[in-house]
Amino acid sequence: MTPQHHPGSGWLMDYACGHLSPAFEIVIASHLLGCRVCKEDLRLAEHVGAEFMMAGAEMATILTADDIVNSTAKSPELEVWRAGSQLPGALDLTGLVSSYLRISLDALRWRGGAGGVSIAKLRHDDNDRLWLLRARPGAVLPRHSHSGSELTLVLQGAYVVGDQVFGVGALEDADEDTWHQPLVTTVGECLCLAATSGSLKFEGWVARLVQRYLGI
Amino acid sequence: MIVRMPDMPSSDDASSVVRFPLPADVSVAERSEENAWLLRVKSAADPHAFRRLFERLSPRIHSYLRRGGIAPADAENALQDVWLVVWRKAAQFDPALASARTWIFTLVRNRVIDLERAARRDLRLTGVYVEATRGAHPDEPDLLAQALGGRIARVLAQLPREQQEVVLRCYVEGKSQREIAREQRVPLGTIKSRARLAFERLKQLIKESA
Repeated sequence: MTPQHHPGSGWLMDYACGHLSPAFEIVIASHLLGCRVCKEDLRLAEHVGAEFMMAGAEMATILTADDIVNSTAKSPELEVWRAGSQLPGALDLTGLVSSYLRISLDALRWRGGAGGVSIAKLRHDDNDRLWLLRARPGAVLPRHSHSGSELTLVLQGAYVVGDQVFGVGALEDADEDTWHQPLVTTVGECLCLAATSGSLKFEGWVARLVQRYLGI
Repeated sequence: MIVRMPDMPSSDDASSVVRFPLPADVSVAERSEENAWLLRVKSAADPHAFRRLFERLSPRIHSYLRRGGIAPADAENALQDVWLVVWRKAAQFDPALASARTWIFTLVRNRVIDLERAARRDLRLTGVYVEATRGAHPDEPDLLAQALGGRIARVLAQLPREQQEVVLRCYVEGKSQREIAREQRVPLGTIKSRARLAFERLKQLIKESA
């Protein structure tokens, strides 16, 4: 299945070059797990990156090829392929929660619950934060506009904004000047992974929940 | 037209192999050579093939790391880590997914991410590379072409100035779209749109010139 909503190319360029903070990188990587279209675009972004790397000046190194061939040093702990580059197209994104994030939902410290929506913080690096959101079928999320960065990936269930449905694997790349009031579909619980940037001027819907429940 | 890399395995199932379109003037021959070398390393642990690959790419990777703000000693260590992985884990190279240089670029990127996170600070030298290389007229196409060795530059030169800017800030200066927006004092949405348009155009131009 190919999701209908994707991150803009700028996000893929940032991902290809390693510019993203862990929170945003994880959300993009998770979308890539289930999205063939973006995976192909990522390859193009990496291809362009390699050309830029190879087009720069040359700078001699002390290291030689023989040093490597003859080295007895322990193999470095370097990830060979990032998630987005290697995995097949269709994955069960709900499996992410246990396998990729290595956490159990129940072990998280959930906050909120009023109106059927709760939120848990997964990580916090400098100004960026990664959240999991859980919403009861039919729950109405806070009405909001966007400013700054907020990426939301649907892991399970679906929510509707106007006439657009965000189903499993869809990534909402928050745009400015848009008023939204997401409505969780009645089919089942909705689980989302979201990254927010740390501006105190919280306006995204995830950020609104954070304000409401955590009082930040 | 889509150019098939010579070392790609042939497959009847077109959808299972991503045939990457390459611009005709973007070092197709060089890429094929590099793929052949890396495949020799993969299949026969051939030190001669490894040496040739190392000698072509190492000076470029080194300068890429240095202009990314990585200190000399860290850059040498990062190079060593990347090449050890290339030498020992070449089995994981799949020419159907990416060319040798793209695969190695992803290793370099991953090492840089590790270094930046370990240091928990920003290592980049803001703007130094682009300003130094491109001189006083940042959008002068000849200087740009020179800076990029005339490769991607020909494709890039066809983009509107604002879109070129986003691509260069991202790939050459190592800035995220958020940082570009902040630096240029324009809404993030504007940078996102420019990035999207630039990327679509790059895709189209690369396909056309292939």
